[in-house]
Amino acid sequence: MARVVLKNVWKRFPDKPGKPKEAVKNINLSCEDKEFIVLVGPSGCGKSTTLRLIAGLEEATEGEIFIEDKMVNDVPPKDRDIAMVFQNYALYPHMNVYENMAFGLKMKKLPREEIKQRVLEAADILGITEILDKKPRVLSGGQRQRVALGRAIVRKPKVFLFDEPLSNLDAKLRVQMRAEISKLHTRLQATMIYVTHDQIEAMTMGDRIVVMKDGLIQQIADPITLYDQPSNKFVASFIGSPSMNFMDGTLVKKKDAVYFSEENFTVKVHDDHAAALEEYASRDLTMGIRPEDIFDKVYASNASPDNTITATVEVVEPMGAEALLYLTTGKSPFIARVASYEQLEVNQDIDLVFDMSKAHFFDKATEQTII
Amino acid sequence: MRRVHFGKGKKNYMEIKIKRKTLANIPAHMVLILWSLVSIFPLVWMFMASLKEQNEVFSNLSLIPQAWKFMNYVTAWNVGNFGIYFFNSVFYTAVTLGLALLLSSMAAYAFARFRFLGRNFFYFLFIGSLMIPIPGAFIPLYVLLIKLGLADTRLGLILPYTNASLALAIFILKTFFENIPKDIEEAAIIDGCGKFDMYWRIFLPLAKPAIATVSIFTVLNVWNEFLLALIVINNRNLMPIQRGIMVFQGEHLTDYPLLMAGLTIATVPLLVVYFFLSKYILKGITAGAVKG
Repeated sequence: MARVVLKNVWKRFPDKPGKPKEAVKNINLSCEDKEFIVLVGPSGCGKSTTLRLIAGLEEATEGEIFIEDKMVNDVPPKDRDIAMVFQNYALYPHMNVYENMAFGLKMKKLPREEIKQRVLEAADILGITEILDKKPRVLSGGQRQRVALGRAIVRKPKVFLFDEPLSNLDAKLRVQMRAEISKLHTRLQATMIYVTHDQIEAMTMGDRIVVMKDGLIQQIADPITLYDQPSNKFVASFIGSPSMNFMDGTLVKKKDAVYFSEENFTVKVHDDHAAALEEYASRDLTMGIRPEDIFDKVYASNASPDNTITATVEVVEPMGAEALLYLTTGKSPFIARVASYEQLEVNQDIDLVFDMSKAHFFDKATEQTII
Repeated sequence: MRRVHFGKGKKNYMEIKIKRKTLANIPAHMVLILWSLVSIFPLVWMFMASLKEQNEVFSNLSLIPQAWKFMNYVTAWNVGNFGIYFFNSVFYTAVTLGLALLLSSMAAYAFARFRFLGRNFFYFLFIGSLMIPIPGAFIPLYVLLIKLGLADTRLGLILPYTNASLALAIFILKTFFENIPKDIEEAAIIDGCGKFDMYWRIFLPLAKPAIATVSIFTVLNVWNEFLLALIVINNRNLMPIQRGIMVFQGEHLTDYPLLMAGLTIATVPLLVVYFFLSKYILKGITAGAVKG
């Protein structure tokens, strides 16, 4: 069983005298055996530091790290039975591909025949058998990344650690390699912990996603839960592309219904959510709604005065099958994703329908999700 | 740049541009050719003088010898004991180079990658020693060698030569090691490299351009060194080539053709070393981060 558990882990770096920088704050995380877990967040959120703590490249200031139920805080990286794939590949420039992949096994003093067998096996899986005698400098970015993967695979580790391995690749190659890594996970049935700043990578690859910000875990959940039920405004804004629209306004109770009122429009809160929001009546809240939950009134099936607003088109971005509209209510800018056959122009006013069953509401002060 | 329209009878503007650039290069090339001639001329004069008769060296102003006395080289080698001097120079240079590379690379690795008390202090102590003119330290050095019983011994030259080579070598290698990306080091840590393995298997192989640069400086300095050898060594069997050449300089008469022949023999190995290592000097100077 290759379970990775972090208990109350802190990492502080010396910064100003008497005031260290807290890169990782009280992390509690459990990655189950064979799980593909993704740490995602903006730059400086502590995701790479967390990964390096698991690898042993950084020492935890406080807390305990367990791999396979054994505490590894004082165990050197080479003895933790992990393998790491780096953002810049970190291939040894003076060794050819074979030597790069064999190096770790050679340091472990494995027999030559076994090293050869493992290297050839991994090279076959990754399709790099024909470049085993080449040096890294003559390889393309994709080939180098495969070699880095191969170097990890041959170690047959309990845990694979990936530190933004696709960041240096072009968009097309990134999509291809994403699929390769996912296939590898299925094939090897290994525990994988993957760090990325790209929420699309996180959503498409992870069994569970850990969203981090400022050294703290914001939410841990599977991709769909994260998308549909973000725990706070940060998670809601980080997951989804384009990101969720946020509008500040006030909740108003009228007769038996609750309305969300922004300066230039008012929409009725969905009946399922009204009860939970009643206590917030007359208070300022933030409403969040995703671009894909906003529709042109002309094509919407459930348009009514209670869920329709008028907005002005500022920018139209044709994307092929769909188009992104950058709009404004006058106070709140927002984005809508519409079908590309809608011929719209800049400065045109358009009626839009909000699917209020998909709307989210956040406490303005704490930014925690209410609905 | 003046543009000229295309058309029949009018010159192509590209031709004008190329012609102007070529014309502008002529003074630069003339200066470079002149400087090259000035630099090479002494070597050519030395070689040509080694093939002349004694009375011809200063009387025959032409570079071309009248008699082409190649026997001067045989005489210099046999009569002048050049075989022994040559061996000694090779020995001192090789041993100094080996010691200097080993010690300086280890020190540079420690300075570049380890944190320890006094790191900066010791590093700047080494660098500071570069500002001391070496002949200025000869007297206390000689006294020390006498007291240690190392005067007129091979070790009496090797140890000071090694010591003198360390500062520059550490400076060059430390800078190079610092430019090796951290994630290569981290990958090696995960692969199981300890501190020595890291140095031996990763850093040293990657530092070939810097090692070549250090080698060339060390070889040049040790091979050409004369003053310390003059002071420390009196035994002819221990003399390096620069010291041994002095036998051709008598009190009243200097045998110039044999002296020039000896100097030419002394120069050739350096030219060979430089020929093979010169590309590494350029790489060492311009080397940046190594990306895998």
